[in-house]
Amino acid sequence: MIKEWRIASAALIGLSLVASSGGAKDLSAGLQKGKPDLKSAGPLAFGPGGILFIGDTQGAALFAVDTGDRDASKPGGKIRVENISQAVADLLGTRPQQVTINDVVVNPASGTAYLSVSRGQGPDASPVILRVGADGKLQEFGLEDVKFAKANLPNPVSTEAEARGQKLRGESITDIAFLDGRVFVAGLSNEEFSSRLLAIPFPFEDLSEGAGIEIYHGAHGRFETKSPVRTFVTHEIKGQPHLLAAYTCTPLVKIPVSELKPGAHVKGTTIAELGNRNRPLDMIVYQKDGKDFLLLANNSRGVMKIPTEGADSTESITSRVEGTKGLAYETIKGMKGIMQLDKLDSGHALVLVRADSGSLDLETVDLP
Amino acid sequence: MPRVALLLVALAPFVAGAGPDHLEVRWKVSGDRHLIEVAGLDRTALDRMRAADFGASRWDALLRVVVRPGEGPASERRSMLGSYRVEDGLVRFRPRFPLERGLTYEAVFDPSKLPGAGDREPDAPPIVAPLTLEAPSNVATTSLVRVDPAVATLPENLLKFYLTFSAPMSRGQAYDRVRLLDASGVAIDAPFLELGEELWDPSATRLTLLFDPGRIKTGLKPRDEAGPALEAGRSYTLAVDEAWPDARGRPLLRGGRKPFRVGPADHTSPDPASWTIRAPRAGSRDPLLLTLTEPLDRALLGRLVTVLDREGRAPLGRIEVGADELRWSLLPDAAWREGEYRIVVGRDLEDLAGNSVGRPFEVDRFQVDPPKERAEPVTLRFRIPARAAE
Repeated sequence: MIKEWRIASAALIGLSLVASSGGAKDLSAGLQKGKPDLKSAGPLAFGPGGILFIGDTQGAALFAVDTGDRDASKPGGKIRVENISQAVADLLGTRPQQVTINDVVVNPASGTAYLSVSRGQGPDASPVILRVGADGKLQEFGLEDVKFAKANLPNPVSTEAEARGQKLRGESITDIAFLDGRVFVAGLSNEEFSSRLLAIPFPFEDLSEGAGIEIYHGAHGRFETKSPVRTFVTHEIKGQPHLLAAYTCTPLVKIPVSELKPGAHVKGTTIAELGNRNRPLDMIVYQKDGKDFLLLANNSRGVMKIPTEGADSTESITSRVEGTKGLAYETIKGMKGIMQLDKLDSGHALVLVRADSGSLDLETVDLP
Repeated sequence: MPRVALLLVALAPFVAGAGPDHLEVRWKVSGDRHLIEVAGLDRTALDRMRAADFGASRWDALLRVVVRPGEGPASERRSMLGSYRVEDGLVRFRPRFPLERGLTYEAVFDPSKLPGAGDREPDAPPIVAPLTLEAPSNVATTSLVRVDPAVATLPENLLKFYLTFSAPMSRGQAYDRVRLLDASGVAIDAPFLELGEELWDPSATRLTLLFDPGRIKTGLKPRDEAGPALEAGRSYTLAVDEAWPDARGRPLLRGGRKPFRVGPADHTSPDPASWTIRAPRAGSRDPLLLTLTEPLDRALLGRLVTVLDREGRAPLGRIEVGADELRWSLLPDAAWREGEYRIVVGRDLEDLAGNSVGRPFEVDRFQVDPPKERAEPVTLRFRIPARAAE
């Protein structure tokens, strides 16, 4: 009797193990081995299971690369590289002035930080992906032979224009994020004033020309303009996924993901007006004491901590008022000069900070 | 293991080049790339280095190249990325990237880290081979070719400037190198949208400078706090600093200044139906000339105005936009044929204030009679009559 029960329960456990590992789709399954033809390495974002998404502005493409870095059993811990622009320059055999660190993200599957770097200037600058863990050892994540996939971003430029020597339209990818099987890509054109958001299904499919979503903003619910997105995060409000986005014209808005369908006329609802000289560089969402907060790195104003509580009920800012309206925020003293920001673990953020001396440091700070 | 060491010791006097006096560390040029070669190593050591267990950290301890000597010992500096190969009786290290001119590189080879050598010569000093490539010329050759829009009077809600250079430029300094000065030469504070990535075209020769939309758009906080950057009735100068480095790190030949006056704000969409079309003659290669009723965005005029013949084909030719952004012409490669033609104007074609053919920059949703928005392009038609009989 007991023996049967033991076998039965073992079988049940076996079943549940199989079910849990099979339930999460293996996103690396459709990727092909090879060398991605990356022309530039800009914004980065992680999907589950160590899949790294790389925005390639120069090549007008989005890459998905399997980093193979899924080991959560490795000890994580604080990451620190002092004078990282010099360290990267030494690694790449060049001067710090020839090195640009474009983005820094942390792989949630392992706690390792990844950096997208440009070596050199001009259109021939070389893209490089580097990674560093708590051991502080900066290494290249080589792309010679990796499992990857590429999505070409629709770009309305004719080859004829290029042949005629006309300057080409380019779309700068400002931010990317993965949510529920789609990669969201925010871009800003260098010609027409457009604010295109792409929602690219992953595994990648062929994108149609009409796949872009134009994002608008209505100041006071009235004056409607196209609104390029500078930086954004995904966040659940009352169980519904949203994008929380910082516009180039400064409002912080929420957009329900359910509205993001190709061709839709999408308007973000203002949840905070961040004011003049606002240069939102990077944004994360984190939890503290059971509440959700936004941490926004803002070049001239330092780091702002914005509680998201009330984002679901904040009235759209429709009337003209003095002072700051919308979600209250707190500027965190002592966190100045932060250029890049990502969550390291539940209590810490990884930041790229420019010291007064001008050097760049990669540091771990407590989430405020 | 100990047996192999004994064998080595026994053979040592008979293997030429095993000692440090026979070792040579030298820089070599292969094509356009530099690499390091270490010669004079004995066969056994080479075989050991070829083995899979001679991993990255052992290679790095044995042979590395560092940048920037003279500031602390080589052991404390990070090694340059590169690949190691044992071939042709040599060890070769190929740096991952080309060497920079004017920088000093040091190759450091530590014989005490050779496999088996630790027992024999633990104190063998490292061999250092420096290399400095001639510094590139710092003579300026790149210049600012043009600033667009080129017209002398610009609307108060001007959306952008294009700066075109003669060669690729560096990134990262644009907002420090361009200033907007008022009539008394004082710089306007933060008039432009500052983006980390900057907005360059793929060749890195044309920069798009957007005015801060938060100060242009009605009802937004930056406009309430700081007001618009440009005010109607006033004069300004766009000043470009000659110290702005190009992609090779050299300054510009000279700085640039574009003075301009500011007129009233423009809130209306461009209307292609109001343009004048001067049709060319059949059999000629005269330009097709469009005269616009307001200056429009130069880059978009180059891309969003297409001419199609009756069969829907676009005659190949060169598009030119007049100096004042008021004229558009197509100079065809081949002679024009008589017949019906269409000019298709894309709805994203903008004027200088960002109002597009499709919709104005700003739409007031409370307005009783809002301007018509269009999703489709505008089509104009013209006819090239047959040549008159001679």
